[in-house]
Amino acid sequence: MDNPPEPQYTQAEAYAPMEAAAADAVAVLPDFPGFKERIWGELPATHNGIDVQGFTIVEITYVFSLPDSGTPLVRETYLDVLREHWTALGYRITRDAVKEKPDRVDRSLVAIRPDGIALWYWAAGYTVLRVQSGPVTASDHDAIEYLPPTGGVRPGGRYDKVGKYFPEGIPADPDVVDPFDSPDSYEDSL
Amino acid sequence: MAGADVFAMDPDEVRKSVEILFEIEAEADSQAASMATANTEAAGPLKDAATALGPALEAAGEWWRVHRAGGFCGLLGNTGEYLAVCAEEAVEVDDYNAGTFASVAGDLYPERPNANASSRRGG
Amino acid sequence: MSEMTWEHLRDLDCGAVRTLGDTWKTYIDQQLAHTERLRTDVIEGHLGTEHYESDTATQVRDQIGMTADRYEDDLSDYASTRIATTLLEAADAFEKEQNELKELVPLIEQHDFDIEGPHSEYDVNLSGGLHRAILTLNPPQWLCDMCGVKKPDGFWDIDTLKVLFDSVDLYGTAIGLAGQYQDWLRAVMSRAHDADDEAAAALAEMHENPAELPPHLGATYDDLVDDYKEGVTEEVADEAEAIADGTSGLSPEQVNQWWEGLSETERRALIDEHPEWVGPVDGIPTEARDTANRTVLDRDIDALDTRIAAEEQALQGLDPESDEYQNAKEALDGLKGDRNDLAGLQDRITNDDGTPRLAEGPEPQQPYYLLGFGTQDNGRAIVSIGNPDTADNVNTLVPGTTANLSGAGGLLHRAETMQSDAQLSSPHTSNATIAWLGYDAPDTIVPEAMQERWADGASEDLENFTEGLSATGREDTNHTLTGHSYGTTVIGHAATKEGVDADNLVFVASPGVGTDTASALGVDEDNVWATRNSLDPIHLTPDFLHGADPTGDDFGGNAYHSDTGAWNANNHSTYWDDTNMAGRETLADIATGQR
Repeated sequence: MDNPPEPQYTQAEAYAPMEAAAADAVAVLPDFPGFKERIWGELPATHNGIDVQGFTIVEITYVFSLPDSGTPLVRETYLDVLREHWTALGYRITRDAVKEKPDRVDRSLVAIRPDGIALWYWAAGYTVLRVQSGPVTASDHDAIEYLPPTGGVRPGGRYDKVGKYFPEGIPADPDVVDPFDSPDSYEDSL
Repeated sequence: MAGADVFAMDPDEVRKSVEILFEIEAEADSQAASMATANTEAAGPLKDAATALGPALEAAGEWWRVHRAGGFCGLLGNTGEYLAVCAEEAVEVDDYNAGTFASVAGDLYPERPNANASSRRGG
Repeated sequence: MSEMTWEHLRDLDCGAVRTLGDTWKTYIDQQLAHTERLRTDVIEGHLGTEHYESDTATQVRDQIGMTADRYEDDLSDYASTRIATTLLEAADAFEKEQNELKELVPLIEQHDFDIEGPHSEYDVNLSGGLHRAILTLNPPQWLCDMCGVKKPDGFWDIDTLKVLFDSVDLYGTAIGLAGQYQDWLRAVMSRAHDADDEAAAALAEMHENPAELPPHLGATYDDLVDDYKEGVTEEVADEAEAIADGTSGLSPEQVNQWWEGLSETERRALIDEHPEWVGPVDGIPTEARDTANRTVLDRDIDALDTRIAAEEQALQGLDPESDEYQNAKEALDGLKGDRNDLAGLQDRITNDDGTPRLAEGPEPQQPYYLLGFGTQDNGRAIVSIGNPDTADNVNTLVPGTTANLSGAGGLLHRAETMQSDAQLSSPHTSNATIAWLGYDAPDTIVPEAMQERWADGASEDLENFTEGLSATGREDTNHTLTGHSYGTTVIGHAATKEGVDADNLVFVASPGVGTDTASALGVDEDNVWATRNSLDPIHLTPDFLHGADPTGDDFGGNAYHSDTGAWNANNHSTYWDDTNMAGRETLADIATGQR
């Protein structure tokens, strides 16, 4: 193919299916300890080798805490579970690599969905689940809707790193508990 | 000590200051000369090697000796000579001229053959 | 100008140069003992107020104090920063290139090549003996090994015939190897000449505008000393201006020494009163540069607002059909473009309350530091994510063709991704990633990116930038320079012509780096990395434009794998996309010292 496929989503539309993909992955992980943080980032989209204004690539990263990142459950079992799960869903596995390092073994698993959304489970220093949109048309930040994070990250908390899209602040959901974030008040707990 | 505003002065202490100033002047002068020589010696092979650094280094060593270390020594000599005069005969800073040292203090500092040498230094 | 030949460099006694630098350091300590003695034994001792008390006495003590101050400044600015540091830096630079020669020249001799031509541009050619050996079908063993043929034994056997028919390859192989050695030799001598000329300039500039000395005691002393004191207050500003103008001849390391020698008050005053002399200067610490640059950025945006308002006002009085109107409108649009670009940069790195923004990445979040910017040409933007002065690992990304200030947002996204990947890969180290759009990048692939001049124009600035990072950073920091596309050419030219302070070089999607061999880059070959994916049209770049493909076996260094996206025929810039996790992981490992 010579031309990129027409993006299925705008940037603003991409977050919902991407977050759903992350939530779907979390749902199959046994004894899930919770993510520590969520990060919304972007990359320049390119065409013919040149960065294209008006397009972007959304990358959502969920990061396990450092202690959890090092457990066999998170580094190995989850990778096996996700490989099986994504394969069963018909996703194309494009990378399944193991890299031996002096002090640890890194693992990397990448699956691409039919709609172009990519899922990357990377057990490195930290272990992360990353979801990438592929090229999408860029949206004004005003048009981007806040979506609460999955995997136990407290919405709007210190580790919900989406602030640049919501400079006015994020409505926190009091029902969601972030195991890594201090509550605003300990009053009810005492 | 008419003519100057000296209210309190211990001439012996002032003379000791002069000795220190002259001593540092002489030491710094000779040390700068040694450095300039070291520079010239090191510059030789660098010049033979057609480096740009060689000539620049030689010039830098000489410039330092004459203008900066030399300037420092000149200032010490000038101040020392002024104080040497002052210890004998009070004189305002603005009224001082280098020739006075030769006439007033020459006998006290025989090791300083070039009386008012400081006035001839670069700087 | 340096006219050193390779033989001169080979035979140079670098130890003697270094020893002289050390001798100057010892001399400085000796001289500082003199000024210390002046203060304790004279000013506070024999000439103390209990022995010598009056207005004149105070004046004399002041004079001795000024003399000591002046000498200490001279020792710091001239003897130490200029002379000793220049000697030590030159000794290191010469020795580094001398060691390369010690490796290279025996190789040239062993292969029966000759070094010919002037010192400014050596050629490495096949010797007459080697020509004859090839022509008489008696090629040396090393050439047979390189070409994969058995050395003929003098009879017209199958090997002899094979060599006969492969004679072009023998020549081509020998010439190719000679060309690599030639690149290497030229790079070694270029860097040596550069270091030599810079050292000479640092010394020569020293006596161009020397600081005044205090006046001698004597007639008109009162007037002269007032002038002197006034001059002293302006001295730091004058030095800062010369450094910022590039006329001081100081290296970034020397600039750093100068900066560290200033008092806190002097530094504060420079940042407050002349931020334009602080922000862009390599060798001044990152925190100070960031503060100064942000001030200048605010100021420039305000100034553009004022100019835009005035131009809009002026436009109203013009006939919209007139040429004058069109010209004014064009100029106004240019100003608005610059304003938008600067405001975009400011917005990206600054919170609404004016404080530096933290980049959104894994913990610990890192602030943005503005190390440079400008609207000249297509604009400049040098932004660090994380503080390179305190980081264990610093990775500097040099972008390629079409990089400009308007697109700095995309460049920063890439740098943020690299920073994030590094942090995830190596959580126990502190990492910083710098987006270095510090040069005028080509606007077009054809013809501009085919030209070397953009890379040559950037070389000295990139050299200084990397030296500045070394000067302000920690001694053991792992520095990586990563280029993308033409950015790799920039790095290659800087590395071969001027020299760069980097532990690792990474060439992503390179059209060539201006040399055919990793050996010429002045960085350990084991730490030179390159990647091209299979769908990157950069493969089509001919070697004669910017040199050999740095991923090729013959280049030396290491090649690493990058994946392609399935749909995209042109994968020249997809190295950070979800289609290339393999490449991102490797880059993160290199940048964090895990490869």
